[in-house]
Amino acid sequence: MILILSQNNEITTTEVIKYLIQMNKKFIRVHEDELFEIKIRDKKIFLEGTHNVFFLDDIKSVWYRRGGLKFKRLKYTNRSIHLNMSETQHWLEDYVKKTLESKKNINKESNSDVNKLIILNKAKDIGFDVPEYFLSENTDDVEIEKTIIKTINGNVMLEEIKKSFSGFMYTSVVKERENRDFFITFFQKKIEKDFEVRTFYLNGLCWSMAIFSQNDAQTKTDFRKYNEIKPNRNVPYRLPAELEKKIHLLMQYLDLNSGSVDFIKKGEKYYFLEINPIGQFMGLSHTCNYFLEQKIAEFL
Amino acid sequence: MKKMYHEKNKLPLTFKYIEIFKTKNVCKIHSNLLFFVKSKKYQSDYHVREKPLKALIRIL
Repeated sequence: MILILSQNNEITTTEVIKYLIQMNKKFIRVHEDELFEIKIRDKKIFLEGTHNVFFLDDIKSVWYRRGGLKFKRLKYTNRSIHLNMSETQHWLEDYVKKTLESKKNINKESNSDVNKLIILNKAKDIGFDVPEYFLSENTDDVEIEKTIIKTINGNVMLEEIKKSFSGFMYTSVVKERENRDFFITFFQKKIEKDFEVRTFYLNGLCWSMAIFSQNDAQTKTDFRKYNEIKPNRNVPYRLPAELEKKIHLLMQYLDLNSGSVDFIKKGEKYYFLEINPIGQFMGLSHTCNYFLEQKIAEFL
Repeated sequence: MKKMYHEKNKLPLTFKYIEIFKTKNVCKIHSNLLFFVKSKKYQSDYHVREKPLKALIRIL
C-alpha cells in the first residue's frame, strides 16, 4: 500500500494517481485537514482517520507531496496529567511519523521545509555560481535597478490581504532608495540572463527545461508573471553533467530525493537560485514530454 | 510599508513591491470552461472536470 500525503486540491497528485491506477498499485490519499487517531488492533498500530483507516505495517512506500499527517490529541483537565499525556501522545505520533519516514519514500514531511539562506550557503560551498546576496534593513548599500528582492520564506502568496484582494510577492527589481529602515529583507545581485532553467530532480536523475523569459518585460524578472497571450517559449534542456552532479550532492546534503531547482544562464555560467522540494513540475513534464508523474508512480 | 498595511511593526521591502489582485471566483468566471467535482476514484473533492478540447471533438 502506498501512502500519499497531499492536499485535497493538489492537481499533480491526481495525475500521479492516474498512473497508480493504471499500474494496479493500491494507495491511500491523505488530505491536509484529515485527523488521525492512533489505535492498536491485533497488537499492531492502526491509524483511524476521518476518511482513511490503515495499519502502519501495511504501508510499503510514502510520497510526501504537501500537507502532512496530523493527529487528534486527547486533552486532560488536570494540568500535570495533561502535560504527561501530551508527551506520551507526542512520542506515539513521533513513532508513527518516523516509522513512515523509514520506508521507501519520495521526500519526507520532516525536512520538506527548506531554509533558502542555508541552501544558498551550501550551494556556494558545493561550487555552484550563486549571484551575490545579502540581508539588509535599509537600501544604503543597494545598487538601484541592479538588485532584486525576494521573500526569505517559501510562501509568496498573501490571501485576502485586503478585502476581496490577495497579494503575490514576485521577485522584484529595487527601483528606488528607502528613507526609513524596514524588516530584514533578502537582496541579490540582478543577473541579465540569457534564459532560465528549471530542473526536476528525482533519485539522482535530472530533467530540465529552458524558459526563454528574458525577452518579455512581464516575465523578465519573474517568469511566474505568466504572459497568457504570448507565453514564454519553453524547450527541453540538458544541463552539463558536472552541474547535475552538484545538484545530486546538494540534494543528498538536504536529505531530499525529489525537488525542483531553478537556475539562470548567463554566458557560460549557470547561476543557482533556489530549490523547492514541493514545487509544481507538471508544466515541465507536459511541455518536455518527460512523463514525470509516471516516473513517480513507478518508483512508489 | 507598515503604514500601508496599518501594522505597528516593520515589514520587509517585499511588501512594497507586492502585486495585489482581485480574488476571483474561478467557478463563476470560467463556469463554462472548468469546474471541480468530487471524485472517489482520485480521492479528491477538487477533481478538475474539463469540457473536451477542440481536438477531441474533431476526432469524434
